[in-house]
Amino acid sequence: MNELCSLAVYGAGDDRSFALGDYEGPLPRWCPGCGDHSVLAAVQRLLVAEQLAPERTVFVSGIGCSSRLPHYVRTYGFHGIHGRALPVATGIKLHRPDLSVFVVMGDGDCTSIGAGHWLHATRYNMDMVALLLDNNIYGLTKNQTSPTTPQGYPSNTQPRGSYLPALNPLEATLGMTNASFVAQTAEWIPAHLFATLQAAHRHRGFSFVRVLQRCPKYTAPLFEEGMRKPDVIELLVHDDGVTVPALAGVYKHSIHHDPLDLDGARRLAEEGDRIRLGVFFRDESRSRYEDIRRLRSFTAEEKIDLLEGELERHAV
Amino acid sequence: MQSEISTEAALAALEQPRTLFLSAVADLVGELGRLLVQDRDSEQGREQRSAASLGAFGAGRVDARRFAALISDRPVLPPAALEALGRARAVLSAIVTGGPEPFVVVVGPGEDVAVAVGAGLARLGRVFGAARVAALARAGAYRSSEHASLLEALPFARWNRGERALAPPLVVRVEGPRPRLSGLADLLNGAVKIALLAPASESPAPLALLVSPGVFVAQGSSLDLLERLRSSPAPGIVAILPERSSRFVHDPAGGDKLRDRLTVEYLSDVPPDDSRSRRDFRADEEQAQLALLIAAASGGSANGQVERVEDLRSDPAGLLAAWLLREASLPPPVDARAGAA
Amino acid sequence: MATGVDVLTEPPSRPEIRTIRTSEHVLEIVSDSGEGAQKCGQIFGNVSARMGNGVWTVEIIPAEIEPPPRSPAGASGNRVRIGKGPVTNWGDETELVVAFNEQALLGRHRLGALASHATVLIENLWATHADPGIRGQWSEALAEMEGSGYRIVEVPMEERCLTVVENARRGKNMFVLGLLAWIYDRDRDLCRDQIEGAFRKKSEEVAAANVRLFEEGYDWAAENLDFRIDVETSQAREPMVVMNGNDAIAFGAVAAGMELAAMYPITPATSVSHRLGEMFERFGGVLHQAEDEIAAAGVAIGASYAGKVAFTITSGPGLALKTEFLGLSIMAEIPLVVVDVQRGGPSTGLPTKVEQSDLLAAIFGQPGDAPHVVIAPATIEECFHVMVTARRIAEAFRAVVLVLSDANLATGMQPFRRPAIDPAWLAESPDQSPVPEGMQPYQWDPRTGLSARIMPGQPGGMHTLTGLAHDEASHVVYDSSTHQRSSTMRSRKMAVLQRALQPPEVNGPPEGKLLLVGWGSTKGAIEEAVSRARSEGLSVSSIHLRFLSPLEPGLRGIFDRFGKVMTVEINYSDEPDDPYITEENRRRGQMAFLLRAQTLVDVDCWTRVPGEPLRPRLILDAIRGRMRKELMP
Ligand SMILES: Cc1ncc(C[n+]2csc(CCOP(=O)(O)OP(=O)(O)O)c2C)c(N)n1
Ligand code: SF4
Ligand SMILES: [Mg+2]
Repeated sequence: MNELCSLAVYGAGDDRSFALGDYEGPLPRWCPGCGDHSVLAAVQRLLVAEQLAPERTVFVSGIGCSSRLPHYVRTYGFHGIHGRALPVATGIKLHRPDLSVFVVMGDGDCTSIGAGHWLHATRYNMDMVALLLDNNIYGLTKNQTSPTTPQGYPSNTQPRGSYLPALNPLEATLGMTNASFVAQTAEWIPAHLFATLQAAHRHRGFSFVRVLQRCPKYTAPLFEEGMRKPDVIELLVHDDGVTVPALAGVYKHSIHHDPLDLDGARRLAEEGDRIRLGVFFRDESRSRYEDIRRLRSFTAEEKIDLLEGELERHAV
Repeated sequence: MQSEISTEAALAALEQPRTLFLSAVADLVGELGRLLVQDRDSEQGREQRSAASLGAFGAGRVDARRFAALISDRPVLPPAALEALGRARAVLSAIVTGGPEPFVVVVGPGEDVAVAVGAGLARLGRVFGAARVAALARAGAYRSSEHASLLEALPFARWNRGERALAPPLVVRVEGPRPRLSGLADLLNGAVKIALLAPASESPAPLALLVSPGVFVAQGSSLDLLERLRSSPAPGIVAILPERSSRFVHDPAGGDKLRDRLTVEYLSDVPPDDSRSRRDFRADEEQAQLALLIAAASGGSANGQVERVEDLRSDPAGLLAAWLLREASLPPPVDARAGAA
Repeated sequence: MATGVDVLTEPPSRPEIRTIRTSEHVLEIVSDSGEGAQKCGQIFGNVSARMGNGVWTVEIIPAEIEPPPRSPAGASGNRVRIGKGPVTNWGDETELVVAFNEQALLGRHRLGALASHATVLIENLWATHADPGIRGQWSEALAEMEGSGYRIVEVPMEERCLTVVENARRGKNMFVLGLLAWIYDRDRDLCRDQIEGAFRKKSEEVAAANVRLFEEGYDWAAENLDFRIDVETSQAREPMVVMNGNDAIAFGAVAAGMELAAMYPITPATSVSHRLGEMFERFGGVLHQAEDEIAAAGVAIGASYAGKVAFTITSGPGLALKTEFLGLSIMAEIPLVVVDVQRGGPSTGLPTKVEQSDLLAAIFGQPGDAPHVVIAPATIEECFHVMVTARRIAEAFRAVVLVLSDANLATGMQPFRRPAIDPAWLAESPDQSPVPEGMQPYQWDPRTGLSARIMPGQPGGMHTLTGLAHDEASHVVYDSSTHQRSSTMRSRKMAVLQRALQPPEVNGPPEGKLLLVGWGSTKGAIEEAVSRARSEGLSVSSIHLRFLSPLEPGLRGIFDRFGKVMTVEINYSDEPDDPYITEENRRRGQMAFLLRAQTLVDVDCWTRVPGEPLRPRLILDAIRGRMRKELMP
């Protein structure tokens, strides 16, 4: 194996236990009421629930309001460049499968400038959690249309309304070869958000979660209905997906959907009257890129022997 | 006829997690090697090493003395610490290059499997002991009177969570007809994976007593089971037994309910026979346990059987079974992934 | 037949054999692609190296994978230059050509690749081909070459090969190897070993058939040819290895202990990844073929951030795509090695041909102030060793190190001293021990700008790295003083590295009339030209730069001791006497541009973009020209 999960790292994995305070970073600087706050809270709760060692957890992001998230979590963080969080995460995971990797992207980040990487990362299916914080707009750069902006919704770049139908990230991911986990949740339903993050984390493979995220600054009307009217929400429930019994009282609509059913998932992912939340698809048997054959690390002495042997093949 | 699965085949089936373990060890060997060189010598030595590290392209182009002056070296360790590091490194590199022997445990007829496996893990534990010695030595806290024994063995009970998560898989070859397995439950956590080869076993369901929510437990006669064990994120044990034994798989990935986790492919029809000797009592008990599990899993009334389990309270396996039955309708308290993340 | 071309259709009844003794010789084998001329050239080169000749082998590559057969643009094969002493470049014109058809020959003729006294051994099948079109092409081609002075010898390649195998197209190359082995008196056992080694992968039968073809060629030559060429050998005293520059880069990367390379296929860099893919299978490591060059850079950076230094390999168009990520790597001080195997540009340019046009893009191509290291190996041997140095500097300086190779080094083969592998080359296993209390992720030493790296896995070191302006704690800070200070720190590292560099050695006397300055793969050709010029009494020296950014020290001092300084480069520059060109608007060679800016010396340049390595004689002509014009009134 070539990665650097030296024994020293495992030795450090003593019997510590971690509380919320161990994961809290500086105070976030998002707008008041921004959905990113809820995502941060859920992420920190997940870290506690799963007792992930802070030094062996990495949050990788691109650029955008949402991509600020790593700064506020006290783990390792990589706040890179716009649209390119996934290649960085791929590199980290290829070298260090021992690390838990979370990727945080905005809708512009993931579905526009980084769309190519998104499709390929889905296919690589490396064990990481990818969160698409979808506020249907470019937040950081102040209100430009994103691929997921609903048709007709105005912005600074398309003031008379977005010209085209919105890109549906669930359909796109479900359409990609070797997808293994596709879910949708809404940050204003914390119990569902948490349960979805947990399912995503526990899934072995590339867990893609689209989080519907309020942006009170630019897209408040788009999320109004979903927030105020539980009736427009429909939960996908299954033992193998996400089930939050406590929510049943509030959200009357639910469908029993087996996440192994890809055709069903694709049908449910289509745009409809209701906002569907839950695990659309999950199949742990899909090939994972990190499972490609690896050799164990060689010691320096062994490597030198190998190199000498190799030089011999070129000897004059 | 199912041909017997060889130790080599079992080792090969579990090569990947062993590779992971050995890689971690090899990487530490590399790390310690650097410390041993770097911390040992003088200004001049540093310059020489700088020159060497810059390679032939750097030679004559980069001034090694100036370069060395720029590079902050790790602090120089006292000789005693270096000596301890050296010994730790020797233990580690012996494991890396020593072949599969430490990963195989042979248990003679009648011997307690748990004791033998425990001893095998403790011996392998010297790798973690060596890592700890290295950490102590670097921190200046190494005392040979207290810590030297870490280089000999570290019992599994003293492995921490991180170490358990890296536990290497073992191949355990059991001779004799009646493997004694009950104590193994304590060893099945973290990443521990055991391939138990018991070609002479006459027990119908020796592993039934080990079924527990977060543990992969399977018995049968095919090599595929080892592949499933390897790919499961849970700790686990697979027993490869003669054809006439019961065949079942308990896979924690199946779900929260026992019924989703347990699949019984074949139930050995060795009848409980009053005429059999006392020695066979355990066989009956195992078989009964498996039947209980099946009953619980299928949701059928298990009242009468529960009473039998109550009867068995006097021994730990009975306790486990009773607990299992209760658990069958509850979500598991143990997270299957926690240990193997 | 055409006059002026001496065609030998009938082998005369065993004429006396004339042996040409020489200290070096240039030969080419050209065919349609797919006919195996390259394999023939490689084996010939290997055998010659093993016999103690200096060797330089260059591939002749058509731009397309399967160009139409029998077309001048499709000429594919090898040039091999062998000599008594070390051979450092591909030479001038070829003196012996073996052509599988007249069109491939014509292609080389049109490029001026053949010396006027060249001997041509050519397949005679086409002259009498059943297809009148082909016969017509044959006579037209020979007519076009009329008056060139070549001595053309027809060889019944197909006919002889058919006595051994059924499909001669697949066998001619070894027949030709036989011809060459006789002509140059190569060790037949060595040849047989090499052939068996090359074909045994297919099957023993194939190997045996190829050996028989080789013998057939050898025997035919012995019976029919009237000349032999004797190039002296001087047995190598040191153990040598032979490989091409791309193999050497791959090899060097592994010897440097690097364990992850990310790339996207692009000529002429791709073969590095072929080699790496194969080596990593045995040495441990990951070759990641990414979805594009941007992702390849991202993956390498992610890997480097979390462990041992990783690298990415590309060529010009790919380098362009990587620029934003390079900026991030520089800003966040993530060590990274980038290899750019340059080809002709801009845009898709000349994918298979050599050029040195990426220099300025490599140094200045990243928006924002992005100080980093650029180095260039000058020989195939250096392609191996440069990777060790690049990795080491990247790690020690938390820097991006960009290695500029080119298509000439990439595909050229040359024997060089067997590297004495040193354990100190291997990447250090990163320190995973807890981070001392209070240590910061960018704890810049104010004198040097250097800081120790903290990496995931180290307890107590948690921080978020960012490409935004940041302070020592990696906190995003926009205030002007922090940005000024952190920019200074990143820049200072380059000054510190530069102060550890040593001035380049001058090839030739340390003072004189003209100093040539080169970099990269042109070293052999420049130095050969300089030595020829000096033997003509011209006062010329040269230096060859390896560190291009920061530049090697002492240049100003060296330049001041020469009447004129002129770079020799394979990139575009305006000629001073071209229309419209003035001192003010002249676009100069890229190194000249750099040196003028850095040294304030009026550095001239002589550059060409011929899509092939520079020929020493052209450089010699340039030396003569410039010296006549400017230095000898
Ligand atoms: C290469 C590049 N192009 C453009 C930008 C400017 N930019 C920064 S964030 C952003 C879009 C942000 O939108 P989104 O990804 O949806 O994130 P949000 O702010 O909404 O969370 C853009 C266009 C950039 N930083 N880099
Ligand atoms: S602009 Fe929108 S997304 Fe950005 S912080 Fe404000 S509310 Fe959140
Ligand atoms: Mg957005």
